[in-house]
Amino acid sequence: MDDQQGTDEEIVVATLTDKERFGELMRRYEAKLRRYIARLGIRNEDDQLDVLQEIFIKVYRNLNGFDGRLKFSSWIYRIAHNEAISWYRKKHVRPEGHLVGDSEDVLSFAAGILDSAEVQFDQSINAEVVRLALQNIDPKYAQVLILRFFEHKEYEEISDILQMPVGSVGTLLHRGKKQLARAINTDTVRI
Amino acid sequence: MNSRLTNKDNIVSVQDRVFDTIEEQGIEPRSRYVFMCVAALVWVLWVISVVFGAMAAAVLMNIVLYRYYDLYEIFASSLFVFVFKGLPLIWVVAFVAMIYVAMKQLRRTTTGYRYPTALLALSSVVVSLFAGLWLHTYGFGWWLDAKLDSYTGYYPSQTDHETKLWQNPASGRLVGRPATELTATSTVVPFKDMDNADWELNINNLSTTDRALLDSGDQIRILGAIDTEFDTVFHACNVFAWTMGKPYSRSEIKEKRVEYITKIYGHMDQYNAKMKAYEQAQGTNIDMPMPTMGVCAEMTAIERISKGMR
Repeated sequence: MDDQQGTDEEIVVATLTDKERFGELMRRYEAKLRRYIARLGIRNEDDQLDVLQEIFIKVYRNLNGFDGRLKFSSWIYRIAHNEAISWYRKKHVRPEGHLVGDSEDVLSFAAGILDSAEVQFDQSINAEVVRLALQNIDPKYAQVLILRFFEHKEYEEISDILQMPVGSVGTLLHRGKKQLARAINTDTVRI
Repeated sequence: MNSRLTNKDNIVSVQDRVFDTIEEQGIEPRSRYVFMCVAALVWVLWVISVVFGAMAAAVLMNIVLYRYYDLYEIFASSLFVFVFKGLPLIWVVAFVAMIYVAMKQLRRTTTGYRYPTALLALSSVVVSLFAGLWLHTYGFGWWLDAKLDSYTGYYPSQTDHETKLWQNPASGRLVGRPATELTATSTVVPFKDMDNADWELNINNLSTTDRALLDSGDQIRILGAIDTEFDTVFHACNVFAWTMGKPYSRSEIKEKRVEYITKIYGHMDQYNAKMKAYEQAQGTNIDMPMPTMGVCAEMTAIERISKGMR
């Protein structure tokens, strides 16, 4: 059987009768979710694997609770998000800094900020600057910014992942961009 | 082909760890009925909170709509103050709490989080108010208010509240019934008030209609004043029917207000007429004693009821 075929939703249904198919879902989402929880601040590799394992077990256990009205990716990201948050709570630690992606991600991120915060970024802006800035802003803004600019999620998907109204996503993004623009070291910004 | 063997090292590792845990701990996907039950429970809790909210709304409507608005000026400086002061906090808190619970339940539904909090709250408020209005039209608010009063010793019903407002002899208000029937020549009638106190009711100043109302034997409200010499004598100036629980339309309340205010100011009108006659007599040098206001005209003068209402 070719396990590359089928939508996520079809694989969910198939997994309920053949648990081996769950491997396909894990294969599709492991790298994405690992990157996502790293961006949320879980930087240690062992911790990432532990959290990832918990996420997939939770997904497996709750497969019958998946509602077809949502996208599967939103549902699994929601579980990943909640699992990362509860991991912090259990460990009594703060995020170890948000892992931001490659230069393309950072540039698209900078472009997003540029639109609304009316600041012009120098060529010198880099992942480290963004990482530090994200660490210094309110986590509720950082979460939305990460999902929008690094995970490239639409407003509706962010709404489903963070379980908040679409309008609130827009508001948080707007405020987050402003806060981030202020947080970015002024040496790298030419107003 | 087993997908566990086809991926990169760390992916194989995570997949293996997950599958091993699933097998070791015998983890199975939870039954769909569990999720259906949880979803149903959320809606059941929403319905319960809306129903309780509706019950609170029905009692509030009963209290707000069927108060003695006919002479509200006696108790408050404005209609708004009268309504606000009379709102029972317990039912307001109950209504708000139920709306909060209902809103929380809506948020917990599959897609409830997508809607703004204000919209969720508003929808629960609207549903509760409409259901409360429906309950109110069947007299549920009145019934619940009365039942809570009779089954619990500490809950004051709307009737208790209004009685407390009107049963205040020191402020010139009495609620009760005459202890005997009136005769055509009666000037003093034994009267028992709501606190079971016995009064000698001086009815010299009552109009024919007020005497008839007193003679009906029904519970009544009286405006007047305690005699300055004998503290068991109460001068009755006006008598009003005790109509708690009887629904009146706005136009009926308006009519009653006009009737009652005219009745109260009748004492002042009589005094003014006497004063006018006295002034005219002064002009013609006819010897005439200056009229005194009397208990009822004085009472009228100090009551809050605005002359502008007449």
